[in-house]
Amino acid sequence: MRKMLTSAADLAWRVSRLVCLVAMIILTPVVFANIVLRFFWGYSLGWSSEVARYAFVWLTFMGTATALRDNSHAKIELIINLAPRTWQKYIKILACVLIALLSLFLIVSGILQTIKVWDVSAAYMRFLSMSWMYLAIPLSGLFMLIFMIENIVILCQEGEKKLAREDMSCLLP
Amino acid sequence: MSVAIMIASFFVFLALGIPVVLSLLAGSLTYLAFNPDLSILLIPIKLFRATDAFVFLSVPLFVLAGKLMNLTGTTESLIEFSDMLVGRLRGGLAHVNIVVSMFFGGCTGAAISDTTAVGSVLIPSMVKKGYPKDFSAAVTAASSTMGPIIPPSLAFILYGAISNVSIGDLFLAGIIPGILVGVFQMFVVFYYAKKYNFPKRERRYTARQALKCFKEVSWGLMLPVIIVGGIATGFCTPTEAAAIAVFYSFFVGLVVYRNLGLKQILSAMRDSAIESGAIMIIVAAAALFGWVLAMEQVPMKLAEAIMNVTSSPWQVLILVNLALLLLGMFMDYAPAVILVTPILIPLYIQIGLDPLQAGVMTCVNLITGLATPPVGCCLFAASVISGEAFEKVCWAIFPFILMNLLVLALVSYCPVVTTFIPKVIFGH
Repeated sequence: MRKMLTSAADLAWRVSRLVCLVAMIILTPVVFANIVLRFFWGYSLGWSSEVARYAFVWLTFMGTATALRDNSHAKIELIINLAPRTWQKYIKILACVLIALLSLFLIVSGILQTIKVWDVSAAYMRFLSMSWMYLAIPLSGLFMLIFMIENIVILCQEGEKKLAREDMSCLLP
Repeated sequence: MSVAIMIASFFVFLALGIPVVLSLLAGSLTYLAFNPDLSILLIPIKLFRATDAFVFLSVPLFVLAGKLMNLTGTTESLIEFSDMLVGRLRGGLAHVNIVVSMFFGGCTGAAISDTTAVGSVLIPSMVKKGYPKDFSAAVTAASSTMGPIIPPSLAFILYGAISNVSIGDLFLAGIIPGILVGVFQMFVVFYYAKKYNFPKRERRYTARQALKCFKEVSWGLMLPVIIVGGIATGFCTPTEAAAIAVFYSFFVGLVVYRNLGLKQILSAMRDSAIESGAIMIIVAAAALFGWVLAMEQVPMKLAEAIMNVTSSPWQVLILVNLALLLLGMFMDYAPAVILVTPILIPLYIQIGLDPLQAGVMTCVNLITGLATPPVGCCLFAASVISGEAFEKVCWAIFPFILMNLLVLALVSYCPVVTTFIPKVIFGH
């Protein structure tokens, strides 16, 4: 069970990192090409900014999911660090449960919205439904849910030792 | 009533150590729960709309350009160049540490990579030359706060995009405050260098060596010139400038220095995407949260409440600055800028503060928090690199932080500090 959970989380983490990379690979040359076109030929490609925006939305939501597992989201930990050591574990479990509930909400509302806009196509790329953009939200929610379940299991079984990188040594070159 | 519960639940979630973005989301969700006539689909729609702005595309691109520039080994040549400029002063390496951050800020703009990249080279050599460990760590962490102020700067992009102030103007306005932070911090070094008789560089550079050193560094130093020049002259938008910066860094890394590998490039791209995703989602969630706040007229009411306490602008500025410093001590500057900008704008307008000056003030203030206890990330990194206890570095950094506050006071009360360069260039 535990093994399956870890491999599911690993897979989700890998997929979201890969999507981030692909989005960046698409986004960078597309934006640059637009400047070159505009500067030398005086026109820009409508679809190019649309492609960049699709890539950017996916980058944002997949980056959010990845950062959750990497524990690199901006947050304030000072207050829970003041709590007694024995409480901290339970506060952390509570936080994970709350995040899991939020992810569940993102999944539900995201899927509803994705279905709703199925017939709406993108402004330039008529063949592409807006759903492909909104799909990033429920998928990101799903990944976050998996990461939080993994964290809750780890916290319950062996305390916080094994949680994702929490020490400052990761800052060192 | 429901808006009060929304704000309260935001703070409860934050206190539990839940990431800022999810706390914002939870707050908005409680508001929706109390107002059943609002559809839950508002959340995905609003989140999506906020990320769907062309100007924000500049965020991952600027982050990537900074990472690539760092990989090409610009840090070493910048250190060498700074050593040539100020190494002969008493306390040479400490001055070098500050001056290099000034240049580094122009090239990459990320404070934490300034601390780690410059610190891992300079702190050990400073300690070897007899500088106290806590002083070496403190000067490294404190000077890193210059990076996000000197353009190109992420904080200004976020402020400009949210408040509709021109990002080009903000970049130009940040130049003088950024340099002043460095100059004032150098005064602190002068004082300590004299008191403890710190060493200086004995060797002199020959003209040929100096020329070679300048040639090495000129590739890196061109980057801020291209970005700021491109945006300020109206040649390109911030997003396009960022894309040009990325291709310029590729050019420097692949053609000039030839030291960028495919693997490095790919992981730099992926890391930039993840980092900016984590920032952009805060922008999105804050837009949702801020939309509710605006609907309930919270920013206006807050401005009124403050104006009822005191209506003299300089007192309001003191209050705002103290509140922001407190926030900056506990939260990273990027999310903090995103959170406070929409709330503070009505107040700035009421006291008649120029939005440009207000922007620089907000950013300079929040950026100071990078190097203040209890959670300044530059301070942590510098203390880890130097191996000095965190508490000792906290004490040693105090005089440097005073200099940051001095610059903050200048920015808050002397409009000319921020508006001078934009005025000279644009004449408005």
